[in-house]
Amino acid sequence: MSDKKQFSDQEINDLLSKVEIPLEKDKDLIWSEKFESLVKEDAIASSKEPSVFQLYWQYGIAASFAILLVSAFYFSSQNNVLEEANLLEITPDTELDLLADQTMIESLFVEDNEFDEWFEEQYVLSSVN
Amino acid sequence: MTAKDFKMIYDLHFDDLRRYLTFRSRDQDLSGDIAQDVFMKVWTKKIEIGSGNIKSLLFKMATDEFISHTRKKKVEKEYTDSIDIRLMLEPNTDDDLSDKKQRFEKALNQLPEKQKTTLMMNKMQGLTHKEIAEILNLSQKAIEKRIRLALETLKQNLNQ
Repeated sequence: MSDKKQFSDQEINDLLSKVEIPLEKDKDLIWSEKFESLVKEDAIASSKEPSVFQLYWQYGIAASFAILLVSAFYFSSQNNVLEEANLLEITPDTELDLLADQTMIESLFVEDNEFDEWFEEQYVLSSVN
Repeated sequence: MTAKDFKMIYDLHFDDLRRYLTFRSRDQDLSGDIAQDVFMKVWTKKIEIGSGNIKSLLFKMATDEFISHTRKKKVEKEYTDSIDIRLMLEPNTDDDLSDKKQRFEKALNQLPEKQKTTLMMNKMQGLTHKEIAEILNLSQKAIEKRIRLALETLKQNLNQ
């Protein structure tokens, strides 16, 4: 019978947890050779780059507010115009005034000898209307 | 990913990745190169730490790089006896322990390649069955079976 000591499951697991693969080069050395300068260069480059996204983001917000404000002013002024237009709707009194003005202007173009006849006609027309 | 995050990942995983690649490739230089390539990709592509399990991702990237390398170079060697796996034990004069150490290293090196790789990933590098399955593109069941077989074979080798 062999005199070799037997390995238990626990012992095998313990030994497995102690397995090591030696590495020739130190990771800190590799970092300093390969990555340190790369990371620093990238960090410097990214700090110099204008942050395009943030710029557009800010302008976007500002533009949205501007559009909202302009729209609000535009539509409110449109409403005012409409309201004013409604107020200016011709009333019977103003209609008479307009007619009087029109008659006065027309009278300027009437010959003196025709004036009586024209006046009579206008009088009849205004009475009829 | 910030430079600080990158350095943290590097410190945590670079050596593990090199060890994994070393026991797969048996080549210290190659494993160092592939591990550096993997970290270079992580930095240049700005892979986010929060995007899943970073350790699994690194091992997966390293595995893909290694397979791609072996395919390119058509390196299809039968790795049998050149692995440099050692046991890190306290220096001592115990002959019994020294004998066990030698027997264990020999038995471990006698394991079939696939079983050894899976066992080392699990026991040495602390990867879960699920993580190993993702890295090696295998099912979790297959990994469990491989590890079980590896332990059985290791025990047989040790107690022969």
